Amino acid sequence: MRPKRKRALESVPWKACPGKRALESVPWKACPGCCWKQLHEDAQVGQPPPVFDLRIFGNDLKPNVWIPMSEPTVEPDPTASGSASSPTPPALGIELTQSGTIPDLISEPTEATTDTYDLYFGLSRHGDDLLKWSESCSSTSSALLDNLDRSGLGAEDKYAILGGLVIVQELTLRKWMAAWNRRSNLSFRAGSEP
Amino acid sequence: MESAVELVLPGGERTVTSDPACPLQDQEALARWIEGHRLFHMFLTSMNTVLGDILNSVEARRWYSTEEALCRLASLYDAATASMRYAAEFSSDTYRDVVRPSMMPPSMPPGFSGTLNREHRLMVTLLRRLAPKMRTARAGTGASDIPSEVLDAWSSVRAARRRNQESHGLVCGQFVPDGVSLLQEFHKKARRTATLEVQ
Repeated sequence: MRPKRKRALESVPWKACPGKRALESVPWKACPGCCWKQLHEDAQVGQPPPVFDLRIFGNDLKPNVWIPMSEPTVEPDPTASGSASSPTPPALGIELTQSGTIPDLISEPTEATTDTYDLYFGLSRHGDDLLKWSESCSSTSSALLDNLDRSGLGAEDKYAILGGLVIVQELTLRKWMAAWNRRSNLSFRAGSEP
Repeated sequence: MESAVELVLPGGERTVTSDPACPLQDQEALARWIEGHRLFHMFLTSMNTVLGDILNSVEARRWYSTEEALCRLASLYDAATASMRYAAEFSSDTYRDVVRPSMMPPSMPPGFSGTLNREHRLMVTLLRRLAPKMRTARAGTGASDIPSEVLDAWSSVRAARRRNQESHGLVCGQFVPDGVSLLQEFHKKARRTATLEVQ
């Protein structure tokens, strides 16, 4: 069984090795001897970096979009016919200026924004998908359940958090049922067409 | 495209270079800070969903659904409050030396603040939309058929909100004894710079 302490640390985004260094610029294995080492080594051997983002959806103010209503997306099958590989754009482009010349100035650090906030806490808003939301709920709940007993919170606070988790799960399950019913109804209607 | 701030990491330059041993206590404090906030966002997202449902059900005068949703909202409010206590469960020294620097330059752009929390902003907006409707209901003006259970459930939401504000005040007082947040500090500095430039 995985030690609880390590599990707790895993819930932080991989790039944010706390108290260490910018992982983009330093080899992962150089991170000296912390609990992140294993994660870094995993990444080193070609595994994708672990993602523990909590996914948040819907940035506008329309009601009923905060937990996504859409059904889970299906990854395209790369072996399917007609999926000839198309060239992918390079990951990193080149930064150019409006003037078309090399800039003279170093820009001052800008003010923090909502994107900065999201980045710091590892919140991702890359798609309105019920499955992704559910996965995030699962990983967040799992990290909490590993650590809650070790926390110094009183019984009332623990009860409040666990009660909240039950409601989150209930709301999410309702969304799944609604999505499933919508899909079933669509199939039924499609099947009954003359 | 990844933004420039992607390169800036929580943890802070100070702890990056000065302490290769990286005390586990500090790592755990940061991990808890982030994990607790994710939990907080999960509750806020659910609160926003429930608030959307409540606004619809009040509009349609579906009182049973309204009462049920208000009770869930109150519970989620308390859960959100407790999750912030969970996130902030470390000493004020750890906050001052580890957590706060991770949200300040050079680790983060200046002005980092909880007011940048989108889900919280949305929650406040939706609550402000709901409050006048419930006030009208409480006053009995034009809504005399609203069951008392709905009004009781709304009272429990307001009580949860009060508890949240009290708890937030306590946490802030514990960590920022001078009462100056990073955002206030940033605006103060910006004002000072502007004044100097004018002079």
